[in-house]
Amino acid sequence: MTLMTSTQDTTIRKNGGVSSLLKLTPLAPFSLIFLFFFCWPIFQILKNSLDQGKGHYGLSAYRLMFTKPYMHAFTTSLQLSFYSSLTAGVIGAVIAFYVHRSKSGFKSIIAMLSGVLANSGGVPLAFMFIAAFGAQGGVVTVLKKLGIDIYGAGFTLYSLTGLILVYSFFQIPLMVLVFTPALEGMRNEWREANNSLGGTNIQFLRWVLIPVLFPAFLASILLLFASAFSAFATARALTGGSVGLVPLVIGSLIDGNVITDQANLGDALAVGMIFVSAVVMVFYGFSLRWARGR
Amino acid sequence: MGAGTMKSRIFSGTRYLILGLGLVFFIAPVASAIEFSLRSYGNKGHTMANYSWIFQQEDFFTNITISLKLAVLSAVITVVTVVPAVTFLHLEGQRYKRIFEFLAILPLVVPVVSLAIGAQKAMPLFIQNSQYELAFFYVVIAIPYTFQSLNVGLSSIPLKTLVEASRSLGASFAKTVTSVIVPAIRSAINAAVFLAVTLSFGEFTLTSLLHWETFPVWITRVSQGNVLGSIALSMFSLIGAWTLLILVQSAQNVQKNRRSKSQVEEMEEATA
Amino acid sequence: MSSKKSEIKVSLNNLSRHYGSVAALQNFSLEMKTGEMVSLLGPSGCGKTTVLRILGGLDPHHDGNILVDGEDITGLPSDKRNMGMVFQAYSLFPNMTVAENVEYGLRVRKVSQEVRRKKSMELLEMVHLSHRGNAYPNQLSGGQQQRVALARALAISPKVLLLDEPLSALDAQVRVQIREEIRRIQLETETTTLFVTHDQEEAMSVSDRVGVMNAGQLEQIDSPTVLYNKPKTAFVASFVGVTNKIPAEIDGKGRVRILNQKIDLSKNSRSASEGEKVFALVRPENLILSNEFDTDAQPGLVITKSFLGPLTKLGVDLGIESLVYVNMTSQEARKIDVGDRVALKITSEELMVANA
Repeated sequence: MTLMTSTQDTTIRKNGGVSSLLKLTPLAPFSLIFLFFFCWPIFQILKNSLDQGKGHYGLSAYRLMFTKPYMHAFTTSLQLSFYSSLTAGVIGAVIAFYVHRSKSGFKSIIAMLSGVLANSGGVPLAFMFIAAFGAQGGVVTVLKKLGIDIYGAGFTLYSLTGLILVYSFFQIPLMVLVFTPALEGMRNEWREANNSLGGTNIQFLRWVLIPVLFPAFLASILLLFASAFSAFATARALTGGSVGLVPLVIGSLIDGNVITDQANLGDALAVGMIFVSAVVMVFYGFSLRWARGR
Repeated sequence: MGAGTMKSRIFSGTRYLILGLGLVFFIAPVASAIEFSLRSYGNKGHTMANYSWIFQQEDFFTNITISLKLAVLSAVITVVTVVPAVTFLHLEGQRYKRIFEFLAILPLVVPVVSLAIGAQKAMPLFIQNSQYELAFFYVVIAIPYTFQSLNVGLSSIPLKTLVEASRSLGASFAKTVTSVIVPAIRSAINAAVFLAVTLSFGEFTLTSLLHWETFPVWITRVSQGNVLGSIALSMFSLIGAWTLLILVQSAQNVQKNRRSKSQVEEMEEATA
Repeated sequence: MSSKKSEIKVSLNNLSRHYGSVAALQNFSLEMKTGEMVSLLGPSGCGKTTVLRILGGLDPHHDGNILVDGEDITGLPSDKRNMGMVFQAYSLFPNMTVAENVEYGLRVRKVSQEVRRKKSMELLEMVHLSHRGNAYPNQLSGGQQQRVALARALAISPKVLLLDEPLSALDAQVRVQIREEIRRIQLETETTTLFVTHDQEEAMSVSDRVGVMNAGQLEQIDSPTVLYNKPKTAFVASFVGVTNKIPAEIDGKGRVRILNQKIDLSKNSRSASEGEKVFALVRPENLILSNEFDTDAQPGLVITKSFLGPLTKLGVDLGIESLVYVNMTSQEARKIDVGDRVALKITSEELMVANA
């Protein structure tokens, strides 16, 4: 008996090393691609941001990043993300709420449309809005005929406000898409229980509906925030360089349109962007857990 | 007649108002942009000339082809990398699942601009010189979505039980893979492929920063100097993308309804 | 027996409800006495939940009216009816603790924090959950959640307690425990209660009266014993308790010829013509097996034997379409084995019949 067990033991132990590594082969292609095309570039920017040439490493690129023009880009980016995600978030949540109460046929059409529209972006989206809301745009002309002159009132598409407008085109559907599952988790029994216990609709909203939905709402908004913050193509196509956003600054640095004495400023800015994005995603993770916890 | 009726009276009025407003907000830009794209120079009325201009551009077909090739390549790479990985994590590799789920989220955290800067300097020359490097980057950018889609899809089927049933009925591992696993996750794979293709076709940021030209990048370049043409081109690409997306999603819905019956039939056939 | 107990608390008169051409409820009437527990029993779609929701004001009805304590509450919205409701599942507010859930009705009525807290503690004591006051619903088991839901409904001292299949989502053992607790608390607080279920054992074991419903109509409402022993319709007879359907023939003179016996027709069977072929409904405990093959005993073969604890159920093949089930004490059943030839006799003195 003992002899058999010990042979089995050694057999298992012998194969343990090689075979357990071989077993992991399905993970190999994924891991290789991930390491090489993701981790390696990220590592490079981290390294380069600290590289000051001739083998020296230091924080001078970062010091430059913290000066006014570049910090201004960060604040502008953050402002854009904040206002657009908040506006689109609230509007999207309201729309999602009304869609949620519709018939299932209508719901699936909206689900499909939201998925499609949330995917719009980049240059075509920018041009579409130029055609509609530019100074000669279709919507502007129609509004003028109705007596509303938005350009006269100071609006221009090629500004922060304009960007917020354009971003909402894909952010509102994205919000609808991301927030609807939380609404689907709402139970009819809660409202009925509230009613049978004597609660009014307002009390239900205040004490049950909003508290239950808030974590998911927050998580969805944070997702919108992150997507607005990282957006590049739309902003560039629309504003060129007139609105100073961090992605656009990085783009200019790559294109060589801006010369600085810090060759690796772009890397530092890239790291800065990753940092902000990471912070937002951490809060997103916490909000998700808060939403699921109750 | 009870609280129910009263509530619905107040709510349905606002509902149509809100949904109506929403509809207007989304249709207005599209409609006016289409109108714009049909204008002709010199205010001579409306024409389709701007659209035929698109097809007259010499690089139109070259660039569509490149984008198509990259999309297909991304789809293939996605299937070859993500599918085995996620399947493995659901079968034998359950203890690594959480780590990989975390890793799969990371590309979402990193803005594409940042990745672009890294990609610029990081890649060895032989890769930097091939446009096909883009496909690999597209795959990486798509990982949060493709991984998630496959992960969720695999969670919703009793994969382990199916595999164990198949093995206990005598099927070899290879036969199990082809006859049981692949059919079971087919819709999840389709969804992942769809995500990879959509992303590849629309990706602009990384592509342009790495100075490659694909269809989206070409749109930008060729639009300089021809306002009407660029609007037409944008609408063409937007509406084209939307139509394709809608078609694919509808096809998926139809397939989903048919799937439940055929899945059982397939299982029966496979283990016969 | 105070005179208070005989007062009618709830009076539902001629209620109907249609969904298009489908009638969910037809001309339904029911009276409930103060402190009484009435169950509505029936298959899915019979209308029992509709009755409950109409009484609670959650669903509208066409025709008829509802009186509670003599007052017509027909147009009153659900938040003004002061009825406590317990749903099948998911009804606790997930963002509030157990205690806060129980207090909710009082909070809505602007009762002060101290008084609320005291009352909710009392009620949680009553359902034996006072130690979980600070837990959240998702930390509780299904049975515990339903007990909290019960406490919450009782906190508002409701005129009527409405229970919509409260046990259906629970495990079998928990179901028995909780239904007994519901009955205990209902009796203690003297709350008039309407209990809806599709499980007849549940309904029969805890109610003062049970109403059997079918296709939107109330077929019979009586105490459990009367319902079981004196079913008024074939549906009630076959829905409540187990019953065998044995082919028989009307013998004229108010008798039925079944197997080898001639038995009087139950007064409740509808009038039938001579020679008509019907099914007789016989309960398993009203059949006996022996090895005395008299002229009026029917010979048969024992095919199945199931040990159920105190009783054993035997399935006997009499040459008719399905097996006939006979219940006997396990002691007696020891003498009989599968494969034995036995003689079967019906011991009822009157039978209920139904159409073929």
